Amino acid sequence: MRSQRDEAAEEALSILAHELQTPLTAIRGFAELLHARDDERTRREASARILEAAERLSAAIERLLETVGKSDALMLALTEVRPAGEERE
Amino acid sequence: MRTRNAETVTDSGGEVSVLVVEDDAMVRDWIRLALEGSEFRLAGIAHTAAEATELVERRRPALLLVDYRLPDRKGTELVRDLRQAGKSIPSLLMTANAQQGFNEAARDAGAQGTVLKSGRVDELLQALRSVANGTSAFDERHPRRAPGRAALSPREREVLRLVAGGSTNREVASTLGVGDETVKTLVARIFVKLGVRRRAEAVAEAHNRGLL
Repeated sequence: MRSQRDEAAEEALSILAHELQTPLTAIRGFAELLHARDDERTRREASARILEAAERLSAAIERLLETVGKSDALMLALTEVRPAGEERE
Repeated sequence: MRTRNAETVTDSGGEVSVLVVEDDAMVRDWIRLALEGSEFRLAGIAHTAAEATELVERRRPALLLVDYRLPDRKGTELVRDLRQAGKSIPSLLMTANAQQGFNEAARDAGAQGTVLKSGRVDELLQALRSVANGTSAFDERHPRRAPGRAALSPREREVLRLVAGGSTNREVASTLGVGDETVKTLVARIFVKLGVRRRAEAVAEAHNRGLL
């Protein structure tokens, strides 16, 4: 059975994923439209939206890093994380 | 001809009218551009579930494309409310990320499909086409619901609705015209399916999943 803490953590993770995924989705989506269509209106709108989404993603990552930096438990957990491909000793 | 203001967008060039319910401006604009040139036309754009309910009435769209995380309700709740109000419009629910049990929750609410907001135009159009053609389109990237969290039967849902309204087992039995033991069994089954131990938890969990 899931505890209330599990549920709260799941919800927090889901919100965090949503915060990061939404601008990423916009970048991917508008880039695809930019690639597939060559009309001026799409070019203007898509490029403006990509820049805006990149700013939003950058701000979300900054907020996330600030939050992680304030938590000893999270910092400790991060010592277990290695970039993909990096060997553990 | 195309008309546009802050609330609605109409494009008479398409064939299937879609009401988009999405609170994020960036995603809304992507969907609007993505649908251009397809067989789908925007019947309108709602930012909240409340706006959507109003626009459904006024615009009578053929399809609903609904975000799960709306400011005032969950997308599943909106779809369920509309169905309960007798408006069974084929609906496709969107989420930003894959969620365990989301397809089952969407199905329980009465939606015909789910789609991840991946930013891929072909995925969005394909899912809309399936739902428009009367076939379901549940995105397989959502992991299945964990065992023990099966969907509630219509009878179980009826019991849960009465429990949520504050009825005791005896009152539920009397309302439904069944025996006390039957209600006890149904309540026990609901607890197992929702993974809870108390009535209040069952009600909270049911609200959380958009079952009530």
